[in-house]
Amino acid sequence: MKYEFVKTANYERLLKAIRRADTRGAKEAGMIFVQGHPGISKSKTVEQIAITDPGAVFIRAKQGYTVFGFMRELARELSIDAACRPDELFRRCLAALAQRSGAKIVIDEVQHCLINGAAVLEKVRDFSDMTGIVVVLVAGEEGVWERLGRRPQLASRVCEVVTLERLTEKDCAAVCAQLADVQIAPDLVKRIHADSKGLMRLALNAIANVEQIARNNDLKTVAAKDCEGFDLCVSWAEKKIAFDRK
Amino acid sequence: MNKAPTPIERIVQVMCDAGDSSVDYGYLEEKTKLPRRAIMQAINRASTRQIDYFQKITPGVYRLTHAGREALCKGCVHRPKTRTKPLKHMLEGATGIRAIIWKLLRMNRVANIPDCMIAVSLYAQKHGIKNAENQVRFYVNALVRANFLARRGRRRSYSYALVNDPGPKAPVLTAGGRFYEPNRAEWIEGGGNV
Repeated sequence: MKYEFVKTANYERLLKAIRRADTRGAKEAGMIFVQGHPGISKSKTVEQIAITDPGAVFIRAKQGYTVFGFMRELARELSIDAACRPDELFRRCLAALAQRSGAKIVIDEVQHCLINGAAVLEKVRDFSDMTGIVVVLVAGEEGVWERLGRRPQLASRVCEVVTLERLTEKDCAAVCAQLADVQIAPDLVKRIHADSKGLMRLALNAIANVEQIARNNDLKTVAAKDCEGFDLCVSWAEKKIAFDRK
Repeated sequence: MNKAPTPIERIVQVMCDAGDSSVDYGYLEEKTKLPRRAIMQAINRASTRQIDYFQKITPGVYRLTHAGREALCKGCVHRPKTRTKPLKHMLEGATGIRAIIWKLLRMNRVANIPDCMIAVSLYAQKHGIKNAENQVRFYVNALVRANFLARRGRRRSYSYALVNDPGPKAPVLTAGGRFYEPNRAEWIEGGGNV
């Protein structure tokens, strides 16, 4: 399998949302909320955007996150000396963010910022309001948007909610064409799309399995009939749910 | 302070011990305990810098000249200058593929070569870089040698864990195999493969 990033519809959607946020009308509403089903390649998509944007600061929120912990991590990412009082640290971070061209803060696992009355997000809001930077909040679990919605002062500052969708058949075909070392016939692409239920994680496993079948049978193009009787995408999470229901 | 002998000093010493006879790479490898590549590099560098310590007898076979023996006796064997002041572009850290790898490692703390390849793929496509994988491996291995990363796992499926994280600016690997670390503004030895 080739190791490349595939520009799926989700990637384009997120990129467009960030561009729209850059040219928004209300300067204080600079937050983008990203959510999606697990296994949809949410983290990889956001990671790619954070990596390719030199102004982006990526912070992964952790369990038990505090305001000072967040500011210390932000200071570290901005190459600022964090050995000072919290108010001084806030001023330093603010100055550094204001000077940084195309600055963005990307916060992954944002559900950890909602503890203690969402104190960390309130601080993020201060940074966003005072410098006008774009903040990308990435949910690590379901139901985060609903929890955030209970705080209108924060939710009203979200200018875009990007829900990353499952892979379309077109995306699946692009993934197969770009990443597989062998040619995958259109009927097999359809099967991979159906079996993986549009989840990138399962589609990648399917491609690896198809390559293994091609190696074993010395095939250059693999069609659906070559993979009959093989389980291409095994979702253990779904198997467990089915087992529990029994 | 006694500095560790450079490859060229070690080669001159071994050749001097061998007397007037000519020596080949195999002999030098055995006596200096240096890899063949390092010996070849040192002799070639001496030749390009017009340091006439070695006389080439046949390809791969050399003899110490009078100038080489004299330099060893006087204790003034050529020692390449090491940069102490960073160049202007080094202050902002490494750029391009190296900056992407560093950012990825700082974000995830652990990454393997496929992860790095996925991260740099868009940049490589945009800039028409064909040997991205080689560049990734070269930089990652240099970071391992300089103790920024720890290699773990099995051969062919290594993963790399960030063990020394000085800050967001990527360490700059210089031609001499040393790293300039722009966050703490210090030089770190050990990035080279010699």
